[in-house]
Amino acid sequence: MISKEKQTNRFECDVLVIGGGMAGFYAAIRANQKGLKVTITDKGTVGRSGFTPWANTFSIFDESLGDDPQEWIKAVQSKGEYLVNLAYFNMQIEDSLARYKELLNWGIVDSRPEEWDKTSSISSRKYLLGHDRRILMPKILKEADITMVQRVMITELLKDDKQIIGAIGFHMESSEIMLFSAKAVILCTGAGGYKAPGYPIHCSTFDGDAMAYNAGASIAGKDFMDFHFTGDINPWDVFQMEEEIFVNRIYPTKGPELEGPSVSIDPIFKIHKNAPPLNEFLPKEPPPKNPEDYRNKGKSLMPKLPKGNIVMGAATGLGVHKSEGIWPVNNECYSGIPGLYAAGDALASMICGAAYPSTGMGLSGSAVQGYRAGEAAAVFASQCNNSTVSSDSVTSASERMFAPLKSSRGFNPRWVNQVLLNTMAPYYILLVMEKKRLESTLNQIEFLQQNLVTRMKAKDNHELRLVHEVCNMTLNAEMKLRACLMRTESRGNHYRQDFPARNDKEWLAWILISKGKDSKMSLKKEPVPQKWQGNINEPYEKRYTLRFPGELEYLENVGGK
Amino acid sequence: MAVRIAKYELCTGCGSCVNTCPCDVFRLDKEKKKTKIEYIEDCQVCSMCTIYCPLGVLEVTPEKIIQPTTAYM
Repeated sequence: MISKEKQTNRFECDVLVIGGGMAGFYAAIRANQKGLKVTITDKGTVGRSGFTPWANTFSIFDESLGDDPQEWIKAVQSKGEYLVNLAYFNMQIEDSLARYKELLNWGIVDSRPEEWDKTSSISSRKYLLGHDRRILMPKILKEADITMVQRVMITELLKDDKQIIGAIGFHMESSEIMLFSAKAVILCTGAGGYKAPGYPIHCSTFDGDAMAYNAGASIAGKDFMDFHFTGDINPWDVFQMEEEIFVNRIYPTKGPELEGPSVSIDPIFKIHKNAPPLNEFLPKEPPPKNPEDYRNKGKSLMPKLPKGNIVMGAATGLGVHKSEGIWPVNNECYSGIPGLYAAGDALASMICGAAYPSTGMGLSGSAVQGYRAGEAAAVFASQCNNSTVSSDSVTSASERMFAPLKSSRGFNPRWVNQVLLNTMAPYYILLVMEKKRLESTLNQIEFLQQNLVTRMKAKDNHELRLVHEVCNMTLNAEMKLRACLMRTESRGNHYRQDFPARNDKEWLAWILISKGKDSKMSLKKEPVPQKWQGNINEPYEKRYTLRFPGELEYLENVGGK
Repeated sequence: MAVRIAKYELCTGCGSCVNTCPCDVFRLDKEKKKTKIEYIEDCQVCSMCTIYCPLGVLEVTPEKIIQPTTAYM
């Protein structure tokens, strides 16, 4: 009995927040302000591992600067191609400025690029670290008397016959069981993606979606794909950014940008069709031979690493920020499973619809929704009694959790991970899609699930974490492939070669995925309310301005225009 | 591509690198009270550990960078 061999650490609280990025930070703060006992746990460290290092813009709606709510709504609806949940988008309009002001007061963001050039590098370092969100956020939580339990991989949500009553996981170093009992749980676990093999950047691993799905919640937005560029020499350096941005900066932005296109997979079509312009996405010069030449010029906090060129294809199958994850059944970030809430990229709030409309929506969406989820979970938790996690359920959950450590033989999780990435990452699977390719990929994923994923072996906790992550990523691969097969149209960041045009009649709808009978995956359409569909009588080419390859010819043939 | 310990003698075992690394590369050597690179194969060269190490113990070395394969050239 593993649970008897390993020490069990118990944590009791009213509200448990899983994930310590921007959404988790705000969820914890808000539930705490409501007078509840809050614990926040993180796979890494709160404020550091949470939001991606690249999250550095924060979109704000500010009426005093002339922002018009109707203009914003029109822009986001058009860019999100009429799959935007306006109830959640309105929260951005209502709350984003207030959240930004709080972050300013805490010193987590500031609006000072000029001073940078005037200071010496030592005082710059001091200045930056003094404003560093990774240092300030845990400090603020600690001062509010919020318990932080870090470097814990949560593997399962715990449930009694009525509601979610906590979660279980293991500590990365001590391998002790970490058992959380709570009246409400908020998943702030972020999103996920598939990175091209050969790139050493680790995946965000869809942990929250997998846990919520297994607990009975619905998952949405798996049918839309974002992708990332990267550097060809230093793959970490996705946006070839200035160092100070990486360390600290969060810049306010407007959003959704009223001019210009949304984030689109157009460059992928161009490569696929061998069509111009390609140059901006290709290496402009060969990498320098002498490592000294890599070194950045000028003052810098960062180690002297190469910049390289921006190239395509580092990550595919990412969710569109805020448009993939746990489906909320109301406007309070509630999953429909009593006691289970979600926020940020773990919540399918659909504020971006089918395509990411502008920079800054990701981070400010997380702050706004974290706050709202914290409040809703606090209201729920204050009406609940304590419930006890039975020792039987702890025993069985910890046996499942540690099983890969006990196997004497099994598949190496690193290898299974590479197989999974090899299967999912090529652009012609999730970015340029077609029925037969999706079906054959699904067939391979099912093979992985049945034969490899269940038989992985871990030699230590580090590998045990990877085993659980690979399980979660494989489950999500199945969700993505099934949802992409089901959506027989193209829209936003969903391009089907065999259906290269929008189909408003059939597909002004989201796809919800849940665990059906016999544990089989079940998918259903959730229609977009009529009032959020925009003007459906507008001529097609005016309503949809971004063109998919082959779209207009296809429409001529099927007469659907 | 990887991190290395450049100034081992300066390390006080404060654990900043262990807590900072998003890829779980470090462990603390409890006996020696120093950092230990335990899972070098998972280093993603993000340099977070070098930024947060208060004593400049760690270094990310360009010399070790292997250019990854890109899909389209």
